[in-house]
Amino acid sequence: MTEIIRLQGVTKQFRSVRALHDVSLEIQPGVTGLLGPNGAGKSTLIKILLGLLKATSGSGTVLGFKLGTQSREIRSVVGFLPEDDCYLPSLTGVESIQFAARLCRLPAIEALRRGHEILDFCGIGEERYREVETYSTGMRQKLKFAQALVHDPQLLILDEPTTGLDPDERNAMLNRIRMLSKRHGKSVIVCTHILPDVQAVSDSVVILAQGRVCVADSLQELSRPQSPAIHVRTIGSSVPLAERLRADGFSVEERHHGELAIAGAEATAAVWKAAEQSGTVVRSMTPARNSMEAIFLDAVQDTSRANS
Amino acid sequence: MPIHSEGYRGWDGRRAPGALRWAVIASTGIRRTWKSKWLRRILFVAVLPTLFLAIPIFLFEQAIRDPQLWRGVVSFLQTLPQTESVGSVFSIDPLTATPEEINEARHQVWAYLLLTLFRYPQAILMVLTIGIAAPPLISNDVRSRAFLIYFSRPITRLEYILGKMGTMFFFLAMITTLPAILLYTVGVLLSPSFDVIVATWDLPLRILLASVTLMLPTTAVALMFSSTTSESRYAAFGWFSIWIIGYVTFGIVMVFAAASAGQLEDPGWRSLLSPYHVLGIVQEWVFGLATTESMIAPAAVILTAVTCVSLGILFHRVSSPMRA
Repeated sequence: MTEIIRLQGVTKQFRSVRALHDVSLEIQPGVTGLLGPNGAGKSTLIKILLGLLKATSGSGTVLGFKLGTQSREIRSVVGFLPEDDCYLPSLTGVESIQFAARLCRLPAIEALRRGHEILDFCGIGEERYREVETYSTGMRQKLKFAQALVHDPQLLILDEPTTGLDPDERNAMLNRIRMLSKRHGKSVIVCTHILPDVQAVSDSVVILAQGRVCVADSLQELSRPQSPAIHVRTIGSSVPLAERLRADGFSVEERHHGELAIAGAEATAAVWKAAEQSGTVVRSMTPARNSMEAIFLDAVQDTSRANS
Repeated sequence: MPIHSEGYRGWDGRRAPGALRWAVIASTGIRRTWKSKWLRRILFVAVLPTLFLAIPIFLFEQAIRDPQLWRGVVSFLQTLPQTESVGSVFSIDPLTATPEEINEARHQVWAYLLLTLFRYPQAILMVLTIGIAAPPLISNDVRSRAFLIYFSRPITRLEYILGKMGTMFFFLAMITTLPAILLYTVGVLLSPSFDVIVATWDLPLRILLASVTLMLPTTAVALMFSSTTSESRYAAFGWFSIWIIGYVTFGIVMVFAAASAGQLEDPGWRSLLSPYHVLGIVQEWVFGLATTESMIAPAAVILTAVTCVSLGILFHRVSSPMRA
């Protein structure tokens, strides 16, 4: 698989502040979550990818185009949803989308047709003739998504795409991202602080901390615990089951709400047997996974420790 | 989801030429600015001086062929402002003048009337038009953080600024170039013969040059003001201030000069204090009617310097949100 983004030793220095330290990275097609605490360098990295900022040193490519020298080509094939609340005053929704499309060189009529189509796709078709200044925060968020998508880019960079959306709309937005990636082959970089969003849609994760890449791997790989285990939830008390399993020689940890974590990938059959013997009803049994929170906190804390 | 929605569909159509991206910004700016009622009223009013100034052209052309009219036309022309640049015309006797002398007089009178159009009614309308149209052009983008919408697309700073300037050029052309070309055309149509074109062929070119002389510095200054604030009213205040302060300063200096000399003085270097007079000096030169030759170079240098500094600030301001 060819990587969509390849960075080699990218550093960005703002006078006395070094925003990015020697960032080397390869991002594969699919949905990638870009995470990091505030000030980690995410926005700087996005601006460098879009050619809005020049890296102090280092090199890289985005969709095969060179950073620094082919910024215009990069921006032609990338759609960007900024975190900031930005809009074009005194234009209606559809005019605003048409304008964004024409800036990407879509012919005027085609830009208008495509604008209507994308507004429907993004769920703001009913508001197409309203001036964008009158839009709610959520509507503006969807409008920005539509603007990023209108020229059918190969890569979407979405900075906090679910900010300002209610739970239903947030799910709808995540579904759109998932669908664009799975059905239409778009690559998406989702930059957010909402970790469940990343877990819901991402194939891989990049975590930045203090301007350095501290994690870059597939979500599947990251979610896998260091030692295999299964999590078991029961209806009623889980204590008899835990005691039975301990008696059978398994290592059992009692977690919150009575959930049991049983070490060993081969424990499934033993759990069923122990449940039958102890008269416990099993509600669910799932392979243990590292949570996104745990992955994020571990990565950020490791970097802090390494730098202190 | 609407019944006609077909979900997401890709697009692989043919893209428009990239060289005209600035024109997309300009046309959108024109559409947005056109919504101002006051601006539309000004554009309507801008045509009226053309009709008024067509009368002297018509009378002049008739008087050349009808000497009985000549004295009346000369008297009428002398009532217009600053006629010293065409003073030699008044001494001509159409009965005895050669065709070359007549053609020279025609050229001078037409050029003078076109300059009058630029200097008086259209200058005031220009200040008003820019004061209404230019301040929101960039300050609204600053306020609504629209820079990210532009620059995350294949648009350069130069194209952005060209687009904004294009918007202003359109409206300025509507109130200066277009009425002047209209006046010239009406003059040709009201003349007894199309031979007048031979004597005045250069005037349309001078109109274009005078328009550029007017548009470039004024647009650069107005957009510079617009880029320095997120409140368009402050930009408008800055724009009107430079014209009012310049004009008032010039007036005060002239009053003091007249008081100390005991008579009205030639403005000389004092004209350089007022943007209105600086523009006037260069436009007089463009129409071949300069009365103060020594002031042309300093005035041109001032206009060039103001344009360059304004564009420099404009470029800096437009790129600063990207650096943040």
